[in-house]
Amino acid sequence: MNWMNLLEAIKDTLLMTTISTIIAYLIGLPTGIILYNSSKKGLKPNKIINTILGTIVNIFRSIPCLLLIIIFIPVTNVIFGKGSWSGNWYSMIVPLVAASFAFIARMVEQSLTEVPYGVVEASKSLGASNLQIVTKVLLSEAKPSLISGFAVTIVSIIGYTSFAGYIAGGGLIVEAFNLGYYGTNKFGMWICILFVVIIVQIIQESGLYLSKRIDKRRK
Amino acid sequence: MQILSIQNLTKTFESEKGIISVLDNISLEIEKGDIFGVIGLSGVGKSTLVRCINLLEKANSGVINYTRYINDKIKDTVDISILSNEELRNYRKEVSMIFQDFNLLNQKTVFENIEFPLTLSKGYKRNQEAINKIERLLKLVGLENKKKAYPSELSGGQKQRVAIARALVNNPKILLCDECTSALDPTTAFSILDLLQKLNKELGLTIIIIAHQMSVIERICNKVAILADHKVVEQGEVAQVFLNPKTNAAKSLIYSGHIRTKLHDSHLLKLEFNGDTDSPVVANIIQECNILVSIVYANSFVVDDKIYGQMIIKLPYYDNDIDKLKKYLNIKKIKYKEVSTDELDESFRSH
Repeated sequence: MNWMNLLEAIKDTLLMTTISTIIAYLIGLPTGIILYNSSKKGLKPNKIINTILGTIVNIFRSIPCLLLIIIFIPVTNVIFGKGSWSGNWYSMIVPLVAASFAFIARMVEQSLTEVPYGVVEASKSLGASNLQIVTKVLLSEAKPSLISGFAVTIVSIIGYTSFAGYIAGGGLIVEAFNLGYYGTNKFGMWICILFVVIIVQIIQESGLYLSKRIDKRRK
Repeated sequence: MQILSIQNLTKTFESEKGIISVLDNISLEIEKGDIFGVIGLSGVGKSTLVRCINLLEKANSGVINYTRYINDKIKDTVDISILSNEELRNYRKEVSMIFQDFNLLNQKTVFENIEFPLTLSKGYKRNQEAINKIERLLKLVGLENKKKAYPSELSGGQKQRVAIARALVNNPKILLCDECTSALDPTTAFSILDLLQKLNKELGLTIIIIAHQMSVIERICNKVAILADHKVVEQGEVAQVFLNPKTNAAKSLIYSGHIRTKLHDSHLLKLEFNGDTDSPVVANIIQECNILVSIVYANSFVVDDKIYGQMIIKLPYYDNDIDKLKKYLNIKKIKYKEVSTDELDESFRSH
């Protein structure tokens, strides 16, 4: 068991997850907001935008991550240079983002739907503009739900990184796979798995804790 | 001095069953300082009406004119349907609204909830002036010690008080109340109504209040409009409408739940007290005329500190007793009117 390799793998997984999550949220959060607001109950109902965006999101959600990576190989080639991305996990960011932004969009849409419609209407009646309702009412009232959704998202992105790691190399899950499948180091495999479990556990539990902590609805 | 004039307002909704008319040619005149009640059974369009007033709902046709005053002099009158987005947001700051479900921001404290409308103005900063204003409002609604509480820690009545303070923070001229006491128990409901009355008196706030209970209108309104079949069937001063309901819809609302006795074959007399009567009328009739009367319905309410009331009594059987009674009422200057059982029956049956 090479502990340096393990450390490297943990670092790769964490970085891959963090960077993809950030970029995926930069795209997924606005997408979710538009999905919600273009729907019938939203601030600016628009069937065309809602249908188009909804279809795109559904398509990305229905293609498994592994296939997305393959589909995105030409794009990855253009960005990172043909062939040069093998062994560099960061070249997997594009398909990882593609796989996760749609998931995030639906999560965000769901969280916003949970804000009582009456609150939105009351804000309107108090003279709030649509933009103000999004930033000061919807996002702020949905914060607890958004945070627990955030934790769920990160955990599924950690799952996606296994595919990315498998194709491009790097990360804990691939390390576990290599040790257990190609190698004979079952102990090393279990150590890797243990670390994955610990990371997931920490993220999920702290997400839930934070969500409950900031939620002022139940006391 | 007119502040809001609604003319021929019509609103329809499309549904699976076709086009449904919710407001049918509604016209109302609301004066500055009024507490104007709009009453009707559920589904008659009351809420839609009030939502049209602050454009949460757009009417299909008709005009709503809003008049601004400066020191009791007309500044301008605007047709609210042609306001630009920004003008509309400013209009909504002058015509604010409270709701049945309070609709507070659950993740914000009482203080932040009241502050919320202020934060919508460009370049708002929480300065001492704003803090003082919010604290004044907290005091006005009686929640000075709940400043840091969250809505989930408040009772229904307290939540509505926060909503009222929030609606007042931009110094509105009109407050729209959409069934604002319907989710509250009777005692709390009355305390909220009393608060609204206080705001009307102290701030000169014009209030439009939607309700389905007569008790709400009786308690605080000076004017009332009765909606039935999506139309205004009666409107005017509360005392006048309540003492002399003309339409069946109005009668059934006013007498609702009061008369349970079968009234077949009995002759009824309706007595009206217009604020001047101050003696025990029924007791006097029994003592002085030596006639036994039974009360079928009685109700009284206070408008502008005067007691108004009406009573429906069964007429005595013998003609000479009836004459005696009428003579007595004439002497005492109590207004009376014979009403037929059919007429009353009709309005009760619709319940």
